[in-house]
Amino acid sequence: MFLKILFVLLLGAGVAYYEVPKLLQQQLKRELIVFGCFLLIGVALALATVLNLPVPNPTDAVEYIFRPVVRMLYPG
Amino acid sequence: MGIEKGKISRWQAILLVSNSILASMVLITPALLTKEAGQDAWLSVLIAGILGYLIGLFVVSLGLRFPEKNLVEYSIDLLGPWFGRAVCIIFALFFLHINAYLVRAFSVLLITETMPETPLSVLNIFLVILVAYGVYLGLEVFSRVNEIIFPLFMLAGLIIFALAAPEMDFEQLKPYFTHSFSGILWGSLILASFYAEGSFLLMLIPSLRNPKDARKIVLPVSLILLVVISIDVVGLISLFGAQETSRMLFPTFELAKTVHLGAFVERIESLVVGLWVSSVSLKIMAFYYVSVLILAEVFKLKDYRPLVLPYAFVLVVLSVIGWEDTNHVRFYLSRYYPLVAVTVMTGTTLFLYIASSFRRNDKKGGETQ
Amino acid sequence: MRPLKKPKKATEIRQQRINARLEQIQPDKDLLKQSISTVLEHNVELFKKMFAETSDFVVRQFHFGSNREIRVALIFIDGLVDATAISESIFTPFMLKTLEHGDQEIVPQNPYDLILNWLVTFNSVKEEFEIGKLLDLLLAGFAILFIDGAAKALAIEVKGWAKRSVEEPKAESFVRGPREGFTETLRVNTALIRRRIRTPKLRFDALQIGSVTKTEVCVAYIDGLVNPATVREVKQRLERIETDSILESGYLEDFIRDNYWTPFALLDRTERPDKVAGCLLEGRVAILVDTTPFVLIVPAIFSGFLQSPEDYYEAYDYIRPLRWVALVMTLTLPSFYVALTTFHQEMIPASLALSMAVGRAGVPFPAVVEALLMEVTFDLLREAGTRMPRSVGQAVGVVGALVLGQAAVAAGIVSPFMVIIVALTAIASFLIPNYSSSIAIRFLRYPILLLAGSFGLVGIFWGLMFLLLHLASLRSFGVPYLYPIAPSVPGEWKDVFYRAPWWAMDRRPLLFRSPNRIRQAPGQRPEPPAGRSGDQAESGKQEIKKNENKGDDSVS
Repeated sequence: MFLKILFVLLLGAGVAYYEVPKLLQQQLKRELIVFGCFLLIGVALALATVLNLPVPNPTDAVEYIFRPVVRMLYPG
Repeated sequence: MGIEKGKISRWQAILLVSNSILASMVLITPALLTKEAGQDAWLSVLIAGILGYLIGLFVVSLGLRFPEKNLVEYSIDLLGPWFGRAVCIIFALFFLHINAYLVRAFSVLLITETMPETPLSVLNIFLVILVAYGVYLGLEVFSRVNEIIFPLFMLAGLIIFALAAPEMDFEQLKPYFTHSFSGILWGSLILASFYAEGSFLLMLIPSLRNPKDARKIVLPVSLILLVVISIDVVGLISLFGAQETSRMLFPTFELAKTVHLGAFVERIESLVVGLWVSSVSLKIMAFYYVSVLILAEVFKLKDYRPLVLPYAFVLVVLSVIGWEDTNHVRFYLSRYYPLVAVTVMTGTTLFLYIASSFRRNDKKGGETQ
Repeated sequence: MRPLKKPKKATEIRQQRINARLEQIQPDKDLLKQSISTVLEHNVELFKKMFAETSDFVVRQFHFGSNREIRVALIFIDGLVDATAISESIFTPFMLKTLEHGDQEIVPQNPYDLILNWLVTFNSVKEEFEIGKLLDLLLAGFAILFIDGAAKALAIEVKGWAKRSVEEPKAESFVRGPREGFTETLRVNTALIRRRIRTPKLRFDALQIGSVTKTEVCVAYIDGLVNPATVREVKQRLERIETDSILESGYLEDFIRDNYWTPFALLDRTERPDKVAGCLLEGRVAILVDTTPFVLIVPAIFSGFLQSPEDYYEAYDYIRPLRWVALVMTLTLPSFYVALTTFHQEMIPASLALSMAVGRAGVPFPAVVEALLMEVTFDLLREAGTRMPRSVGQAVGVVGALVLGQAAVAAGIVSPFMVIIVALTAIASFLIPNYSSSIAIRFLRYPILLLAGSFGLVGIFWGLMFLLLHLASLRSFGVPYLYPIAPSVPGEWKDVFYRAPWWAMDRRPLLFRSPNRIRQAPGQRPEPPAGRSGDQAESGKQEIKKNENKGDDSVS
């Protein structure tokens, strides 16, 4: 468990280390912000998965929306 | 002009779209089709071919209304900055979900067939690293690689089917037309939903060396798909029979297991998995690329590359948590996926198409007044 | 957004500091721009000061004329000049002829003209007055003659240092084809190319690179066949280089290649003039560097590394496809073996699997470790064999084959199958004609081997995909590295997967964007003589057509 958390954090740090200097050098502020948000979301999701926390599952959402239609098409 | 500076030729676009549709279609659909249409599945294939061609023409005609702009730019033009962006984000998220499901399908295949002990997440990360690398290098690069891989993939498939031919019994295709027409039609709708995946082309039209060529892409792609999937379905039915095919998870893969040449070449399914990995990774690359490109355009970024690696995290997580087990993957695939694909892909396209028609009429009206 | 000014300034300052350092090594810049003085002693002192106590710097001062009133000084670098030529063609006329000529002529008003027109019996003499240029000429092997009272000096070309003669290249050896190889002298090399391409359109544009070594670099191309943009790009990249030394073309290679982070060679290099000539005729550019026999060729493409000049001389055969097979084998054979034995035993035919199992019975390691062990051993042996003197190299071969191969199997450390696989891989790797790319491919075996050990066949395909993506992303001077394969141009495959006969390759390769694509008249396929074929009129017509086209053959 601990190793997995470390792995995720290290990966996240590695990605930031790779991208941020490039963005800073080119002075792309907007890119930096969007990148930061996405990375935070990604790392947070990965950590939540590793820690077995509930993560919103898009498949559930899709199935919820389409369930009535599927029920209609495949009765039983 | 959008972010992407690289240009691809018409030939590259044909192969890229074909590969992006075929990579999963060839493996998955025969089971779904035979379930709906039994041994008449080939009829579904023909109908779906025509449907797919029409869908393709429709999608391209939307794209060609704005040949210099990409999806995000004209959605914003048509629907306003907020609503237009929302539609595009739905598009991007939908591709994210497809990718997650493709990555999952990859590891499911690998775990069930060759390496049962490997953890799911390891395989997912393994594949996503490759895909992210390809997307990072850009459209030009992975469409060039696709130019090598796709013909090889087709060649390998042809050889395998040729080797399996002696075992086939074409009597299994009889009796003809015993299934209800609604079943056959539903089967073709499922297949057409895979054709609808080709609407990612909307994002690539401005990257074509000559955007006007987009219309000339549709017919070759439809023909390639039609021929390949017909051979696939007919071959499988005559080898296993409709009943058995419908019960399999990846019937094309099962076919590879039966192939042998003398006593020396046999059990080549692992080789097929390997080849399929290259093909499906290119498919994921295309969708990954389109999805990241849409997001970058939505946030008005100058380059999509900063988003590639964070996206990989989300992709791995979704592919792990999205489905509980193999059965769930299969269930989702057969019941929900076609519906979702048709709704989102054709839905948004249709929506944009109508909006653009209104806008065009408005303009015409404005000009005459 | 507020532009950040600070980093820019810092880089500027750094750049200035670096430039200052680079200049420090040079003699004073202002001094070099000055002209020489009319006083002989000043000039001699100046050069003496510059060279300090250097032992190979020679000054020879003497007087001549009937009354010995004309004072001159000759300076040169001993070893760079031809001593006999100097004594025969400078000292002899000066000291002896002036005596023979009788007294009336040798009291001239202008000794400079006299020397230039009467005494220096050399074909190449330059008049110079700038100190810097004189210095450069002196170091290039000229002898400088200062004359008292003249504001100009004479630089006499008496180059003559110990040279290696034209020999057969060691690294690229052939069965058929010319046996000349480049030498370390730039002029000899340009002559070797010029002898093959006798057109004034063949250009050798000279540059000097390296603030200390002042290495002569030549950009060779054929005007009209080459794309001017490529030449411009090459020159730009070469001129950007600011370094103190270029000792080999490999230095340049690192400076001008498109992407450093790749194991693949993005420039071709050769020591065969026939290959360079062939490449120039395809519309490519060659970069010759003084002091090395290795010439760089740009742009380079991946498939070019599987072509050997010999392919074009020996009648067309199956060696090209064989090389592609060898390439794939070098890359994946050990990995396939590992993947099959570890993950996919079911793919091995039963009888073979049995004997393999027997061979592996006593081996304590998993197949990956076994393969890695043998591959590393092979690489060690190969490297040892290459760098050792030839006699010792053979001994290394014997040790490798007998001791390591035989004994390792006997001791049960590796299975005999593994030895076969590694040996096959090694032989396959020698089929790749280009040394640098053969090294790259051999190096890439290791990651693929590790992937195969952990993921089986899927790992191999993963690795190959990664490799393909990497290759497809590379460019060499604007040309996609995988060119005729991806982006695929099937029309160009006739020189990639096999070598089509010469009459079929009537166009230059498209990728070098040559402005003149026609290589020869089409339809020159040899036909049986008219009398024997059925339709005589037809072949007669073709005969005439051929003769008409002959005029177009030459390079325009």
